[in-house]
Amino acid sequence: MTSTPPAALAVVAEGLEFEYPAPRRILALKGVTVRIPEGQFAAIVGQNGSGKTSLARCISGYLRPTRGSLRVAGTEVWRLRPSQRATRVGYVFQNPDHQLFRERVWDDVAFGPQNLGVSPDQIQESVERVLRRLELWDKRELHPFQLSRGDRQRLAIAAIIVMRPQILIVDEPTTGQDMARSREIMDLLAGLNREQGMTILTITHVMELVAEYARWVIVMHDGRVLLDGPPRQVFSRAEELRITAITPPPVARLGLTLGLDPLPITVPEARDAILRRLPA
Amino acid sequence: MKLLYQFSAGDSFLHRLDPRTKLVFVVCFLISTFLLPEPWVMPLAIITIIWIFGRVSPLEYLVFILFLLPLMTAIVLIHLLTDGPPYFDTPPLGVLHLSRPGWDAGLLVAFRLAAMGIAFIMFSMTTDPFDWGMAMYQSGLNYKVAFMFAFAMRFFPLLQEELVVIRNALTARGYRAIGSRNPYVFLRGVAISIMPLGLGALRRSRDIALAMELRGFNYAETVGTRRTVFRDIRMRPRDHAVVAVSVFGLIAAVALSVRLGAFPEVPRAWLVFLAILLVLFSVIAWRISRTIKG
Amino acid sequence: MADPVIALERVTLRYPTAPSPTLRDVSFRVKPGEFVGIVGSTGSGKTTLLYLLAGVIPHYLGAELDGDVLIHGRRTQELSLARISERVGLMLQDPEAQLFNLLVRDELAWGLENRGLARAEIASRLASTLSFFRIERLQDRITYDLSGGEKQRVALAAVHAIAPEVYLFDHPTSQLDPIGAAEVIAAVRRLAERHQLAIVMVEDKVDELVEHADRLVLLDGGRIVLDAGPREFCLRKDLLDAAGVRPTQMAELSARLIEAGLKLDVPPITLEEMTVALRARLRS
Repeated sequence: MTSTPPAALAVVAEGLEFEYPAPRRILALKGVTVRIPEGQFAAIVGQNGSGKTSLARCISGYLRPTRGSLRVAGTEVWRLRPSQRATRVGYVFQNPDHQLFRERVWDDVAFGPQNLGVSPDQIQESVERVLRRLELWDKRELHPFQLSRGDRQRLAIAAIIVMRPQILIVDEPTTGQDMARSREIMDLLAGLNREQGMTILTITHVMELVAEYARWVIVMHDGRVLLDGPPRQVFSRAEELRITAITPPPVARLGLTLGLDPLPITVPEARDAILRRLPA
Repeated sequence: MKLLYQFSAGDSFLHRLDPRTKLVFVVCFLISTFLLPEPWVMPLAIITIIWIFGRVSPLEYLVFILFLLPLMTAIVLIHLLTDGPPYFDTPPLGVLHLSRPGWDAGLLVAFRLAAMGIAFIMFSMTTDPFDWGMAMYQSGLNYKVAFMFAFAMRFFPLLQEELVVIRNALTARGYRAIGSRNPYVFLRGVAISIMPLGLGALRRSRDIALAMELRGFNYAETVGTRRTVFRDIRMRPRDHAVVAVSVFGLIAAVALSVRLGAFPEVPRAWLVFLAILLVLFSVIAWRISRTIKG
Repeated sequence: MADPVIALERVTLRYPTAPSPTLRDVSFRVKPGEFVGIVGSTGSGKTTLLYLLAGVIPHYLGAELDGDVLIHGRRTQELSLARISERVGLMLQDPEAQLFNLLVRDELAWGLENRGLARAEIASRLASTLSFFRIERLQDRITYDLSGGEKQRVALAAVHAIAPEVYLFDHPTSQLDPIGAAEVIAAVRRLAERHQLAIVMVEDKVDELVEHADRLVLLDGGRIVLDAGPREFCLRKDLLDAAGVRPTQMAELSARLIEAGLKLDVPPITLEEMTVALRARLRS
């Protein structure tokens, strides 16, 4: 990895450790060192128990590291009050139902900024902007319970991005949804990343989407970073990935078997790579 | 994730007792607690019983004891400060006097409370709620009522876990509910958390109801057959032994209490009235359970 | 030719609150021993179809129904849900919503208790189900402590204990991580090896279905637009695109390679097929 001036790093972790307090006493993170530059779109992958969720929770400030150092958006984020944290790191949880706090869609999105002490005029403007962007403006008067799962997922995201966090962590946005909906969510995140320079960290286990959207992959295994790098590089380390539950997308596995170089990770890349290799 | 008050699937003597036995024991224990004068005896007794016969060390429910402590302290303080003379010889705290009988009374009530609480969690820690429900069913309680009761207890840990996630989600919205010392903020946080908790529960309950229906929850009523109780719930010799010990223990406690002059001075009329009330209550409960018996 | 064990015959269904029908003139038959996959975008009617086959509609949920839903030739309207559920088992997608007893072995016995089976019979079915799914080590575990994959397997075992002939799955792995999903798929495979059972699975992961299903059905806007074997299914790009469904990555790749002029007589739809097909080409 090339070294980057510290000011441009969204997340810097060195020897980060986290142990859950008694009575559980599990060492979830055993020395994580990772640097995520601002504006990155990174995927954190790994099986259950690998520490990926604990890492995300530390980065978002819920968990306080027990050892090592962690700076997020330049600060020790766990020290901040929730209202200060929300503008630096946003966290969207896996189940949208756990994040719906108000009886109207509009109110739910406004809830966060209200807690931050934003002026009512500013709230009006931000909420409208975000609802329109997420195609929920027409549903702003509805009760969240009436929304489809996909819409509730978007609402959960809306309620966090309205506070304009520098870094957005999204926990398993694809669970319980079909691929088309999952892609819509990923497109949305890619849009935020591109247009606003928001650093995106997404925890996911769908490698096809990682290949299509992420520019950086952090593979967690047994409380440590096993591999990190661009998807192409990570997927090519098949031997090392074997101990995790991570299986590269089919086209990447094909590429590895056939020795295609550079390794294709999406269908168009695979087609091109194969056509190039064929005798004319 | 083992959470407080929840059944810890173990295999001790207490775990293997019939739930009805434990119920009898707890009732006898509770009554005895109110009759004996030394405050520390009963809490110590129940902790020891749980440790030896249940193989659950007090460290495992330390959190519960710690939760009781502020309550106990409050009770002691209240009695200490509000009961009458004779007072302790302390430097005057303004108009406040520390009452000697208040100290004794306060300790008594506080420790009795602790004993009661620990007896209750003894029950919940060593009893599978479904064993309890099915024991009640075998004793005549309507199946669906018995099942739903156990079912509620089974889902309690899930709700607790969800509440943790919800509280974190609340923090993500900039709302400081968790660490807040402001009671208004804290309570409002609780109120706000009810909605997502309820929403999740509601959504899941529809699926659960369907799954239960598909696996025959209403089969017996629809087809007209009788349910089988697969689990082996019956009163064994050791259950009868424990019931006997509990009842004798209660009688002994009553006798000891009267001997020590510690038996609560309740006017005879009240005692008779209480006895009649108890009998009436039991009869009504029995009649109700018979009518809704499934 | 065996008779279908379950069938929909020209079914049109509209929910009371819906503006338009969820299923339109759907005919669908499953024979004993068949493994049929059902694919379609959200709202295409997949879950409704399963609910009809399971008797959930009309007995548990109400809807306007035209046409017949048959189990061994008998209309589900004439049978009680209690009787239907003895023949047809339905697995839902949320692992959390299908386990309501405390211990795993109680969960497996529960359905049998409700049906008033003798204790000896329950004990024997319990033992055989635990060994069939290789979950003996889970029997004394508390259900809410299990992993997602374990929960789904226990839920499946609980249905299996009732010994239905037909198993319906509604996105069984959608809430699971890859390991859990693999465990559940392996359990379903074991089931599929029992040749007299019929399996109908609604899934978005076409890759999985392609490997195990005998046929795949595509639902689009409440109609069955495609009902074919895996290969034919994957190569009907036009219908899949219209329905908003993507085939396997390999099938997509095959289509693109063919578009680019490569001759593939039997277009590969799985990784193994593609590897074999291309290895030969790249060598020669």
